[in-house]
Amino acid sequence: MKLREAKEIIENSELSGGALKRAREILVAVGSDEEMEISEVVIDQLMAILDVDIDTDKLKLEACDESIDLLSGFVGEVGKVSKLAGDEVEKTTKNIYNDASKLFSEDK
Amino acid sequence: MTEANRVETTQKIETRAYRPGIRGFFERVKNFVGITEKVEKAVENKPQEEINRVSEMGFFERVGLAIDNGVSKIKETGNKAWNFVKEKWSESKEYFEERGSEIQERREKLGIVDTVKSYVKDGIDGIRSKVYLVESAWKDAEVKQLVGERVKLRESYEEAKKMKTEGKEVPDGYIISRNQLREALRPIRVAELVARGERRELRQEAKELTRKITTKQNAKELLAEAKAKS
Repeated sequence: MKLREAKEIIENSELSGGALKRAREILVAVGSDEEMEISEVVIDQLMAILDVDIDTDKLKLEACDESIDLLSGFVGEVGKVSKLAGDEVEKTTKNIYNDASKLFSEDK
Repeated sequence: MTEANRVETTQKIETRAYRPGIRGFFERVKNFVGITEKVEKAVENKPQEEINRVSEMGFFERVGLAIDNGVSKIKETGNKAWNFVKEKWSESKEYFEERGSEIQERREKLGIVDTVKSYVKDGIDGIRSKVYLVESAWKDAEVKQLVGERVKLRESYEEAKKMKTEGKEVPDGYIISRNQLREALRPIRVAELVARGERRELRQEAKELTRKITTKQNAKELLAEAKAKS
């Protein structure tokens, strides 16, 4: 792989700030001839940087998923309990209404 | 779980949880107020003993009890739900700390100097703190507002009841109104909206992270292919 190609891959890889800086340093140390082939050692270093950045994002994604699940549970429970409270009020109002209906019919 | 599955699952949860939720409750409240007004109007010219005969417990007491029970159910189950979230959230703290330290160490060994001292920990803490924001909204709902509104409602009933006992006419405003009920439940709605807002942001962040991971994996594959060819 040519240095130019490696640089292009790295620049478009969405590495985090610190990781991108380190990858650029490694590529600068290779030399200034853009058409020169880079060594396997350099490729391994770049891959290790990508790997650790991927693992960082994956851990963040895990934290997101966990929080989303927990918040979904909370939202669901709040919805459920509001229904229970609603049922309680509804039950009583129905009873009151029935009692009132009885009163109206007794009047007739 | 793939991203597509994850999004599909969370959407299902949201739809299922929301329909019978708070919106449904407000519909019931509306119905309740309608009936309350109807009953009040219907009994206004009836002799007191006749009204008492119909409702052994008394109208005000029954309405008050219904609201008390309703609010208690919200509070108890809401607290239970929140405590469950908090417990699960605390359980995983150690896991994220350990995994975060391992990754941070790997970054340092590779010579990566992040712009913040603990890039991984700060990132994870930032994401997880969104749950903490919901706790503030819930505590506010539970302690400051819900309890306060309930006390106001109770006081209103007690006063009305006293006036009735003394044979006085109960003025408007002492009888339960739609606004009082709405006010009593508003904090719950606020806590729910905060939770939904934070979850929306987290979903957006998860989407962005998934996209970044894919891009980085593609870059890694290109490098691996080049290495295999060399």
